[in-house]
Amino acid sequence: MKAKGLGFYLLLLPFVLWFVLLIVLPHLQMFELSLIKRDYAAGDSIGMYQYQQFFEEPLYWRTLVRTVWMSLLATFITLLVSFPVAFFIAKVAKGKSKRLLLLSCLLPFWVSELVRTYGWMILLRESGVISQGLLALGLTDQPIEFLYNDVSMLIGLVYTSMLFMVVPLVSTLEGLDQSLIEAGYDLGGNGWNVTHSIIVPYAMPGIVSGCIMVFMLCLGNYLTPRLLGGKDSLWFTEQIFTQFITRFNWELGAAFGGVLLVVSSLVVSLGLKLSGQSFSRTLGR
Amino acid sequence: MAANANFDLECEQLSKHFADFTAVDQLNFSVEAGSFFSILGPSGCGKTTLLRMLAGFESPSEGEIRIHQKRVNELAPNKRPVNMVFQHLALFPNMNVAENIAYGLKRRGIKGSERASKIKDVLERVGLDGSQTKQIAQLSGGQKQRIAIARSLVLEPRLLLLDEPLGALDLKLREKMKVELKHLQREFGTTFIYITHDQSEALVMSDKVAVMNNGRFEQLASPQQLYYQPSSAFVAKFVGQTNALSAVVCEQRQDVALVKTAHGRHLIVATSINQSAKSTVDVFVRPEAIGIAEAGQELKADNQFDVKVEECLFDGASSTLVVRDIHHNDLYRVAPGASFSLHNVVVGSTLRIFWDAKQAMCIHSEVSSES
Amino acid sequence: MLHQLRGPAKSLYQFYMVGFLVFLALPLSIVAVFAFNDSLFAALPWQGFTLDWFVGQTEPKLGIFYDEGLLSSIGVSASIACLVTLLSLVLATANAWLFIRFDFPGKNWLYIGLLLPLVIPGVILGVAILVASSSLANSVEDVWGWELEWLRPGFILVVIGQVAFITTISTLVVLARLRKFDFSLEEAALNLGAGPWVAFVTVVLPFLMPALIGAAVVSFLMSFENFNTTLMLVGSDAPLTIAMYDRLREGSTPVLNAVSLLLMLGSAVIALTSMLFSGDKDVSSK
Repeated sequence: MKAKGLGFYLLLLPFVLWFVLLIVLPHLQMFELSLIKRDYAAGDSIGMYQYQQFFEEPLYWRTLVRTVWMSLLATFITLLVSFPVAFFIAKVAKGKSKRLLLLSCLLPFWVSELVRTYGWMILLRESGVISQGLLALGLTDQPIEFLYNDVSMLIGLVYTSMLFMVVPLVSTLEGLDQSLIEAGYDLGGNGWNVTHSIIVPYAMPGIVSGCIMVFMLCLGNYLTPRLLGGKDSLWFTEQIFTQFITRFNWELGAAFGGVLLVVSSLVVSLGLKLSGQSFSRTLGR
Repeated sequence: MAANANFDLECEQLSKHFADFTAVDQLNFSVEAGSFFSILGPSGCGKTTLLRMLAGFESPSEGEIRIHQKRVNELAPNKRPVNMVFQHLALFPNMNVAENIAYGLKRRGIKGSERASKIKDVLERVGLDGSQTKQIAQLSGGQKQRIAIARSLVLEPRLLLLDEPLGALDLKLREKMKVELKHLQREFGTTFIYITHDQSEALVMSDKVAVMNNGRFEQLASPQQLYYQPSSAFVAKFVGQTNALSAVVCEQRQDVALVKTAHGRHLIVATSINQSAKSTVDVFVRPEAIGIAEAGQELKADNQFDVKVEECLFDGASSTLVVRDIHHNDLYRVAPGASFSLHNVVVGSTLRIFWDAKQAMCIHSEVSSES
Repeated sequence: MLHQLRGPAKSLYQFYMVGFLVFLALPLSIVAVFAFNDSLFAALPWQGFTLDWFVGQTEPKLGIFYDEGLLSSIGVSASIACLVTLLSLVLATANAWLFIRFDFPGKNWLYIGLLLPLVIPGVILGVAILVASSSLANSVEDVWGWELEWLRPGFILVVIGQVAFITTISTLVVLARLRKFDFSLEEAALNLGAGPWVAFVTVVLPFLMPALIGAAVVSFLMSFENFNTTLMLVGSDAPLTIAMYDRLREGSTPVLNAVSLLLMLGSAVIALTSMLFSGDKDVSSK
């Protein structure tokens, strides 16, 4: 607006420090590390050795493919579960009940993910509430293990990330003019038609931003797959953790981090492209 | 321009260029101390930029601003002896009336009891004493207006800048505030610089009005001069209602000229400068300068002819008629005022309209002016 | 839309909403209920009501108020959260002012940079900061022989890692409010004789206050419950989520339920009071 004085640069400084020191540099260093091959006899060398490792070992890339696939699945289920809820909050509920509903959606997420996951463990495990309850009711004659499979993991992922779908959906749907919906019915549309041709296109920015948030949360999740998922089905973040903390193979871990970052950026930009939305508009509201 | 103690504000060659256009173009003017000075112009004419330069929110590209003989170009906004009433008033919503008025006093380090008495004093003068503890949201539009003015005037500035503060008010209140502002200005004796796009505000309140267009002043004069002797077609059209006719000069005798309108009617009009024959001019006649008589009546007037009533816009004393020249097809708007009864006027009836040469004027047609 | 729905469709929709709310409340209420079960395991059958998991003083029924390990980890979490909140608020205010008030080349790119942490998985952010700080610490040690302890996993590194992404969130909260600011108010303050800094403190800051409170609450809670980034950067003094995670893997008594219940109450109280302060209108725009 005005000529930039000292004030402008003083304000620019914290942002640049934060962005360069805490975001850009660490990731560049991680990338640099991933290019190094440690060899105590011949000395360190630079190259794509770690990435080669990733592609040559089926366990690694299969874990990644599975992680991406399950995250997409969880995102899709979250969208299906959340959309009617968001629509109800934005367009059906009025006044006090509307605020109460939104609040009850928000509140569980003020509590640590660990607590939420713990709740599902108490419910689903072999000695858990559901299994014991069924036993007590005589519906089964031995305890059932509901935990440690893909279904329990998906339940946990959907539960954990639901808020990040509901809130953007509610805020876009609130802008939807009721008369548009009514016009849709008036012109002879049925419920499915109107949802499909009016409501969903209108909510697209919210859908995309919700999906991106949820997908990223699932992909980067560690707790839920670890505590609710099956023992034989690793999540990719667990692989990174293993390389860094257990095996102390930082170079390979850094390469895994790089791979995950690239894959997530690809999926996100693909999603933006397919839906015709821009990154800063969808996320930076 | 020499520094003169009678002037509170002097601007010399003042310009403001933005990347792709010039908002203020080499203005030279000075404002007498204690006067009410208005800058009147359509939106985008540069008046807001001018005001923001005076307040210090924009810095001039060229030229000099002097307030009370002191150059202020480099002075930060908070150091200038200038206060401003903002377009949307900009009263601080998180403070009550007294705190709003106290804001500037606090910045000057004026302490408790003196501050309170100054606040009381200024509130009395704007007629709102006792509302110190009211919240801004509790005030009516007119009260907010007066608080905004009080907040500035309590600092006893040399200059009070007003950025179309009446724009947000409804019509009735605006009429009332016009008078009130003029009274306040007279009472405080502060120099007011008032920008507006509403010609009536400028005419009613001001001692001097500058009509601004495309970054320049078209004319700087008293309201009466602007109205009766506009120096350009733009001013004539912008200030007040007027009938504008395009015409060609036939001949000129001293200060009157015989012109022929585009539809062929010959008119005798006043002119202040020499018009060469065959040059195109704009002829302006104020609706209220045109008299009305019965059709066919011969009168002692320079211009008179019969017209047919096309429309009758009845509005009491400010009624107007739209009439068409029977022979030459020109359209006129006539405001007969209270002296002429409109009882018998119906659409389609014929009347005679008339005016003297000195009540009409012709101005050299501008290249860009519309047909 | 509900008035267009009739009969079974309408009841079905309402039934769905009720089901959703049950789904939402189920795990948390289960955790809360078992905080009072007089059993060594958070599981059925119900052994009777007890407050031991809060006030029990002896093993194995050690209550949360006497569990030194968990108590000290709560302290660690709280101090991390306070520090993170403070830093990210300062950064958020400066960033918001920068992006609203100034136009400069590359602004759109920097804005994308601001949003970037939203699409970086927390584990990777943690790993990247771990790598960077360790390599910095190593080079400092190699060149000067100084051992910079704070660059190794531990308290400071956790704070740095959390500030990296929480700053984005709180900047967005402050930005949303600052966008609604009428800048003629700031000009009015300058016009009335205030310097730029005084104008900021007396006029802009009061306007931003609800957003700053909101951003502080969000930052505090996000820091307190963060797991992914913290996991990679944690040292010997574990914050609460990490400590609970370790207990959970080892298999723990319902003292975990008691901590969880306290967390729920604490978060709910903080969140609700902040909503009261900022007014209901801001709830949906977060």
